[in-house]
Amino acid sequence: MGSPLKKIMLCSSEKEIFSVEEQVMVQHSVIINNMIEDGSYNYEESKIPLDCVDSKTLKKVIDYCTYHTHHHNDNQEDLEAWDAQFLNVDSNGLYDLLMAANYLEIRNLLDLIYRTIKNMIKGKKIDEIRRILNIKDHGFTPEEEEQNRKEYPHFY
Amino acid sequence: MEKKEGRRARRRTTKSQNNENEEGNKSFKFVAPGDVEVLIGERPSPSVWLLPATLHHKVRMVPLKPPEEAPEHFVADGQQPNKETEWNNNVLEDIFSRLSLKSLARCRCVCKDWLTLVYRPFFFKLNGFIVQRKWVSNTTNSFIQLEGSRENMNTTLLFSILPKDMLIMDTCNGLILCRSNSAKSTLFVWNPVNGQLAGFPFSSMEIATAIASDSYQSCFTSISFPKFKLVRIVSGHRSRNIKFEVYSSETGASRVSNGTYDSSRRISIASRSIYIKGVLYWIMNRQKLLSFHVEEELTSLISLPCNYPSALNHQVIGESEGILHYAQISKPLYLRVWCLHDETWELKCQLNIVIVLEKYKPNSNGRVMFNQVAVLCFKDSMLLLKFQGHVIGYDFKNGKVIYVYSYEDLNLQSPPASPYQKSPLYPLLSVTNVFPFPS
Repeated sequence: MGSPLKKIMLCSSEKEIFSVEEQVMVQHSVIINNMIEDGSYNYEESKIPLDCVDSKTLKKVIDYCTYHTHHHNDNQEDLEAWDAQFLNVDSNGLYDLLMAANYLEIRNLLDLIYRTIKNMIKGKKIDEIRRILNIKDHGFTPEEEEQNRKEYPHFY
Repeated sequence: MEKKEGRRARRRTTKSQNNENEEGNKSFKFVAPGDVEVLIGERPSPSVWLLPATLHHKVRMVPLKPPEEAPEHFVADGQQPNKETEWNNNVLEDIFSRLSLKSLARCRCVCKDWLTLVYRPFFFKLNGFIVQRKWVSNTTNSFIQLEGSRENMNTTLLFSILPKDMLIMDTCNGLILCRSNSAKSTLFVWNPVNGQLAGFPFSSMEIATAIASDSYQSCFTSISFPKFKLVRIVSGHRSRNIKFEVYSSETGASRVSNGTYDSSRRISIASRSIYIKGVLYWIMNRQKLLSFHVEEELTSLISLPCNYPSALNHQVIGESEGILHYAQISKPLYLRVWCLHDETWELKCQLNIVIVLEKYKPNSNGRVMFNQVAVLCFKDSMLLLKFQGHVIGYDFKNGKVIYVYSYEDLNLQSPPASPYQKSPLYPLLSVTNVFPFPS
């Protein structure tokens, strides 16, 4: 692995180039770690194309990785508060982050997003879940829906 | 394949609907538990969440490595619905696998795509007992989930996770053998992981049927039906000799095995079967254990460790750590558990049952009647005991006692107050069977 000050280039879907400390990405992203380790990244020329991640999302992902690299010794509460603030985005942003984190295999970010979504669903009534996640077409026939409501009235 | 086509078609229609609705965007705030505040934009969404129409266009999976290594759907434009569904299902499955069973049970009713998706994580997580109450006209199934470590066990009650109308006869390694109330002449083997049913004709000559399956792993990891064998005990002349009929799912055929058993007296089977390491066991009348080696088709009789007869609900066989165990309640109030080691019975535990009941209900004053207590079934080292309408679990390895459920809990979801159930004249009309799952 290179020295901590080495930089790598990430290229977003808008072809905008982000220069990040190598250590930051290597620590968090499994896929970039693999690339650096197997030597397929050339520090002089290579840019890592991330065509499925737009600039806004990529910036957030880098923010996350940078913060967690430099603040990993902070106490748990501060980190959690920062995470909560970090995920204070609209649902579109949340999807994009989820996709990006999944693509780059940033496990702790993925975990954070999954937990957030889990909390959005947990303990909610079905009607609430549908409203929160905006599911209009549930795919059940009216008869099936009625049957379900009759069978599990406490779910709705 | 057809199903996929259908899904795709539905997606397409949802997308076009979305475009029409796009203008009516509103947003509202939603505060998630755990104080994470998330702003959710309200916008038209297709039937599967996390697949918003906008995302279809935005997200393109492009490989980091050169394209020749990439699968086709990465390259071809607009021809990647397969990948998208699969991938998003993974996301959903990950979320579902974090939810508690109660939330999962609810998620099944949110929308149809979730219903199919929830199934897998749902059954991955099950560990406990199926409680089935048989009524005059129908049956109710509930599932008691055991959660936590062995030292700190607690239970959750789930209702109706199994098909209604099915009478469970046996379970083996995650497969369930059942009979339909409405189609009485058919037996079904049900794989709960993918909901597949396989039907077999049921013959009136049968005195017992058992299912034997070794492929526990494949049952939970593959889509196809795991291999299994059905063993039927068919009675011959005046029930004095019995034959074994073995159906194999691999060959798809059944045949009468060479192993038979003749007796000078009538034979009856007094328990469900237990399948351990290739051998099926049943408790027979006259304090004997009938065993049948499924591959070698060998039959043998084993004497139970005590000779005096025991009532049906005072004895049970079960499996713990791959060894056959036999538990019995005997007068005055002794609970004893044996295990079968090299064809000899070894006494594992013996204690006064009042000690167990004291732990759960300290003020019972030791006044326990012999007939109030029953043993129901085994799960690992957990033995379920019934006492005055309550079911408690006793771990005979570490002596812990947990409260599992009461019959009242179950009645909440049963058909509206059945008169039979309370009347002392018809005590048998409501029968409760408990099965460990996955066994």
